[in-house]
Amino acid sequence: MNLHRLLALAAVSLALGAALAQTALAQSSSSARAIDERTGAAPDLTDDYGDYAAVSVSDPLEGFNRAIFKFNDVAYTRVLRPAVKGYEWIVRPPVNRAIGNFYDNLRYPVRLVNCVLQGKFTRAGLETKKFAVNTLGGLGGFIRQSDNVPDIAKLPREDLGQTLGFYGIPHGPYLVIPIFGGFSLRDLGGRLGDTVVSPNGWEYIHLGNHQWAGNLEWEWQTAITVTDTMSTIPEVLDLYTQMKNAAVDPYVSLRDGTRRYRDAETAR
Amino acid sequence: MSLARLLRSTLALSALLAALSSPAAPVDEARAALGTGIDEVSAALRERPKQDDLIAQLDTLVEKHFAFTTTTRLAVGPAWRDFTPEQRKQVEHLFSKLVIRTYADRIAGDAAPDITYGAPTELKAGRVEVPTVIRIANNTYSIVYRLELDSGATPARWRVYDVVAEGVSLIANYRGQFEPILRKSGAEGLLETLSAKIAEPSAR
Repeated sequence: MNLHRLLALAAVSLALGAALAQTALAQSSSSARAIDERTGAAPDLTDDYGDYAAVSVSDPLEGFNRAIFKFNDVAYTRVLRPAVKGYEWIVRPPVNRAIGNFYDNLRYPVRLVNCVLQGKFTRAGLETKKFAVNTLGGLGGFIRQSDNVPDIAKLPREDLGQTLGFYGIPHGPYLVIPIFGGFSLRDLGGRLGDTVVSPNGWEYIHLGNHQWAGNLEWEWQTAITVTDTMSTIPEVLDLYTQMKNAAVDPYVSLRDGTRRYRDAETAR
Repeated sequence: MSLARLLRSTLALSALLAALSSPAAPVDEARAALGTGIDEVSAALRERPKQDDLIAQLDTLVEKHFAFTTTTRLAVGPAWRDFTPEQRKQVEHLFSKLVIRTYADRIAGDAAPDITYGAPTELKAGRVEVPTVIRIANNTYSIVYRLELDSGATPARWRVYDVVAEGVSLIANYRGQFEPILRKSGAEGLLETLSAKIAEPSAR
């Protein structure tokens, strides 16, 4: 075989290959068109659905959880909401905000401990600065002066659930608790663990002779718990109502939304 | 003409050409478009119209600033391919109605929010993400807007297709809710669910 014939053969086979490829392409696009004829829709050539992969929440107790969710919904809308309206009538929102700020400031040890546990020492320092600014400059924490200081205006919150996540502990199953709402097993454990370092939670645990928890009378302990809880409820209930108004399946919306929110918080 | 002059005029010309041929970077265009959109919506709210008027106004603004077809398509997910054009139109109509109603409920009566724009990033060609921090009353929220270039329109415009509030994406949150409905009862089931939801009065 001389060189000329070899070249000619190569040219022919290349042309043939190209023709075959074109036919294949034409066929695949005509099959795409066939789908479009069936639905009658404009061709959907975009393939960006993977940009929104579903979040997978382990929910083996869904039936049970949905029942508690329903119970909670009635409790929130029929009991808690009217109670909050009454509370807001007595304690005006700006005052309530100040109370909320006060208790939030008191939870400084929770944030500090969890910053340190995750090795976030710079942020631990900033948390300390924030505590100092709000305690000294904000009348003991009632006014959130830190909002006016750029580097501590919006510090991501830290808690034990996030610390556990930081060390790769998985969420575990999703659980809906009466009144308190939905948590992953990990976050629920974190919540309980945080009460040990939170001054607001000290009245629940008996620390020997109450040396460092102070000898608070039960009336005061109850008052602390109630005002702390009430100060956060109006806002949480508002968010809940908004979520419910927007959702076609509030249970799924809240379950998946909480998971994404918690994961975003943990990543910060 | 001396060589120096020739060189100088060539340089000047090429600088001019470069300035003409390189428009603002996509990220900056997207960010500017978002700013305009948020300003226009805030202005509509500041007039404190009645709820129905507000919804009508938002309808027009949404069409201008939101790529709601993309939002709907991504919220529905791959099942969108099996929707007929009529079903696509209906689901987009119902879904936008629900979202606008929620949005109008949420922001009406709020004080004008104070927004700080972060540095935008390009997600892929024609898609840009703009992080913002929004302060309303005593709270700050981190909200990320995702915008898409609509090159079909003249002039081409950037429109919002997703809003990610504190890590929770609007599209992703609805995708999770739609998916079981679509799996169980298909496109018609989703349309029924959405119609029923809109017929339900929103709780205060």
